Amino acid sequence: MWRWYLIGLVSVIVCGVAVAFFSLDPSTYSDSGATDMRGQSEVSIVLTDAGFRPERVIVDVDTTLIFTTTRDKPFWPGSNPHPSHTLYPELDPKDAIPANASWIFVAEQPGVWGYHDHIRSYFTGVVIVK
Amino acid sequence: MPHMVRNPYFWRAFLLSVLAFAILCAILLRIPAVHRSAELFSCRFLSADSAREECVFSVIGDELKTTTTGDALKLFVRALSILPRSNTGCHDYAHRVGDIAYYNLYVFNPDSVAFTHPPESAVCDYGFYHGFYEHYFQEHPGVSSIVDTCSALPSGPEPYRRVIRQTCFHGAGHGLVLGRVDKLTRRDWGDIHAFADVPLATCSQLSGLKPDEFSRCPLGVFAVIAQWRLLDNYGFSFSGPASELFKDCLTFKTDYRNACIFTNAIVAQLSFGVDGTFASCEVLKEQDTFVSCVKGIILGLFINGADEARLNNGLSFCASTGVANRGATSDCYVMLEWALAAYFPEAQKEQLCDLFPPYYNERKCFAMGSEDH
Repeated sequence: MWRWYLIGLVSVIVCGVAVAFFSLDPSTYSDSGATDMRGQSEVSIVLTDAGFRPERVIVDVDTTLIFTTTRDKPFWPGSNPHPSHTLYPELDPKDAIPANASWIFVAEQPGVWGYHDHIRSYFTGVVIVK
Repeated sequence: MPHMVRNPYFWRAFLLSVLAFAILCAILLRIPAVHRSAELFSCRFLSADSAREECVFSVIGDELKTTTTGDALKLFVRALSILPRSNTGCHDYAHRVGDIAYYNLYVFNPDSVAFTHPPESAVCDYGFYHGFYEHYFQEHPGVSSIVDTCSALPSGPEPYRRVIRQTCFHGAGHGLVLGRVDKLTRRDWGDIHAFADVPLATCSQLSGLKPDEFSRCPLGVFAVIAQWRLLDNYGFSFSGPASELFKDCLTFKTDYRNACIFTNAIVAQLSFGVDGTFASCEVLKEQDTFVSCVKGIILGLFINGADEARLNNGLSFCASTGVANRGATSDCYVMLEWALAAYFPEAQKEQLCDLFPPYYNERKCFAMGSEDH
């Protein structure tokens, strides 16, 4: 009798691990809360006093991202990590953008790309390129 | 096996076990700590570095919003085994946790004055404090803001408490320079005095500080500019002949000059290596500037981690003819001794002390860590 319970228990543990694994799919964290803007050729991302808006955005490959700010201060979008921007070097204007100007970037690489304001690195965002 | 499967008791046992386990999982995963741990664990299955980092910091960010800084930092310490660049990027990662904490406290909750910093915040060479306080002082750059904030840091055992205060003042230096970016124009790019003079003036007005705290603010100022040189930011760079590596530093008065040389020597070796940086040190005529340069080289050896190989490099450097010819051998070993005390575990220090020259060992080098460099 105990062998049946033992087999059942082992089966349940295997099933449980599988359920936990699939229910906690890490790729969903990136998409979670993200604004889906696929299908648009241009997407505007604005740095506000509360941070980049939309903060997390899903776009198609080769979408044009237009970075601007409503803050009266220069800004500098740069790929993570701060301060070297090495994970996606092209996601970096290489200089501060004046408050009244914009920076245009074409997202050519698929992936999950975190970025930040190089001047105020606590302002962060994520671009998910699919 | 076939006979068990045909037995009705087997299937009842199996179904009861499945139901019990499902209920147990549902209950456990509702516990935030368990759920967060499971989320963090699942991040390791992301192969792309960028995706894995964003996954981890998303989990840590949620933890910071819903629990305490201490809980989030404990999660961060566990996350270091998942993050792809922990060997070289530990400080940067901890810095990012400080960034997130600052954002949560001051953008989401601008009236917050929650300066509670648990022991876990010391991880990765106090990177959390650098990230947090540089932004705080970037936005609150006044003398009284700096003195009141850093002086109010919680008490605790030494050397933790002493280092926290030093790091706070160092973070103030960072923040003061970062704050200059808003106020300067492209014409000022590359002008070290345009970026540094106002912050240094603020540093000089900080009162009631111990000497080892007072020195931290200007070091923070120059540390940011040195990093900008490494990254070619704001018109600063390490381009140019070795003889001019410290040219801008020499335009400051003595204390600031030496702080500038020290911090630039730390960073410059990431571009030029020890030998290349030392060639620039040798151009410096004044003895105190040369010593600052040598000390910077030593500290720079440990900027991306501390191990016996790096210590041996430091020992070779200190024993070198070039250092001896300028009479800086003792200063070099003192700096190396400080690094040993600061960066190596207690259990390892005595053994590593034995690597120092015999005459130096009499100083019981690992006990010297409390002195300021």
